[in-house]
Amino acid sequence: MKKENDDIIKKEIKENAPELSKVSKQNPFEVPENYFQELNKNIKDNITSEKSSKIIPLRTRKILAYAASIAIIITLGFYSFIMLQKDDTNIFADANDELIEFYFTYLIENDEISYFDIVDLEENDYFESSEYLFKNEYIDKISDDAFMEYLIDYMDTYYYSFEEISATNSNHYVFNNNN
Amino acid sequence: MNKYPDDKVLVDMFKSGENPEKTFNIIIDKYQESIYWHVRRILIDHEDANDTVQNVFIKVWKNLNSFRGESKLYTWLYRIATNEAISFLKNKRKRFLVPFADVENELSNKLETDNFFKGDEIQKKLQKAILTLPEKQRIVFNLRYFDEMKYEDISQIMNTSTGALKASYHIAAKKVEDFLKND
Repeated sequence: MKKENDDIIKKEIKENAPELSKVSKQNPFEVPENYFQELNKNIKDNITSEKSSKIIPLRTRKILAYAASIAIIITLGFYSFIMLQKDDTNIFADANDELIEFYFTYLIENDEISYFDIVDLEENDYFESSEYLFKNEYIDKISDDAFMEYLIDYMDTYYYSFEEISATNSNHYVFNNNN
Repeated sequence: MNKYPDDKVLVDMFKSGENPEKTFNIIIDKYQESIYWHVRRILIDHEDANDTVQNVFIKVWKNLNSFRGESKLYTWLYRIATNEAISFLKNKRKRFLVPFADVENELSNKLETDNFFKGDEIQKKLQKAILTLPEKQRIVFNLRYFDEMKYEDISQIMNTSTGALKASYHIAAKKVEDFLKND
């Protein structure tokens, strides 16, 4: 197991979290005396007893088979959006309904828009039109940083990948700060 | 870890069928500590980590013959360990019907009473800060910050692109920083 260069790890933390960089990295957890010698023995004992019992295969994991080129393009786009803070990134280009719903959840949770505004938008068929869906009067209130942080938390909480959230379907909405 | 044979050599030795128990003992010796600490940071409690690590190595024993070597052995081990630890927390939530945040709160409280936690106040605060992160972000933070793992390796463990991992780590570090400063 080759570790990352120590200087890179330190630099990352020093730049983003100076207070954290002052905290000792010494392991604060302990184990009972001779624990690892016993762990080794317990694992071997368990395996010996398991060998005579039926073998259950490891749970089959869902294989996320994304086309490599598309994944790379989306990933690079996503990463550069966060890190480079580009002004005109079309993050909602090709967004699906889930992302649209998520976006409005964000607006409601952050008091940028009320539930009644959404109902109003729906009643006026504004959902049919990307022009109204991402009206600047709502978008301008949100900083990209705050929204991206919220989006990443959402993905990390529910184990979504960005590719899953922004997977293309029949809807094509466009979000552009410069509109 | 230089005293141990290379991972590829170990896998080939195991698959050759000549004394796989002996080869597996070497794999246990080589990785049990790092896998234990990875799981312990997720589950906090020693007994929970102990049970989980034993399950991890039983699964590795049962499946090593079908390991195709498309990833590194150690990232495969970490992946199994991560999945086992996440499953443990999921089962805990199901068993006690508690929402996500409550399990994390319980782990945070556990730090106060854990006889096997010997860190000072600031280290305790750091662990509590980490427990406020979403589960996946917490694991990414631990792997990068404590295990000092390369993003490429974390990507194999978490099945997530390196770009998304960098973003998650960036935000996690910022949130931990805010917690250390303000709470």
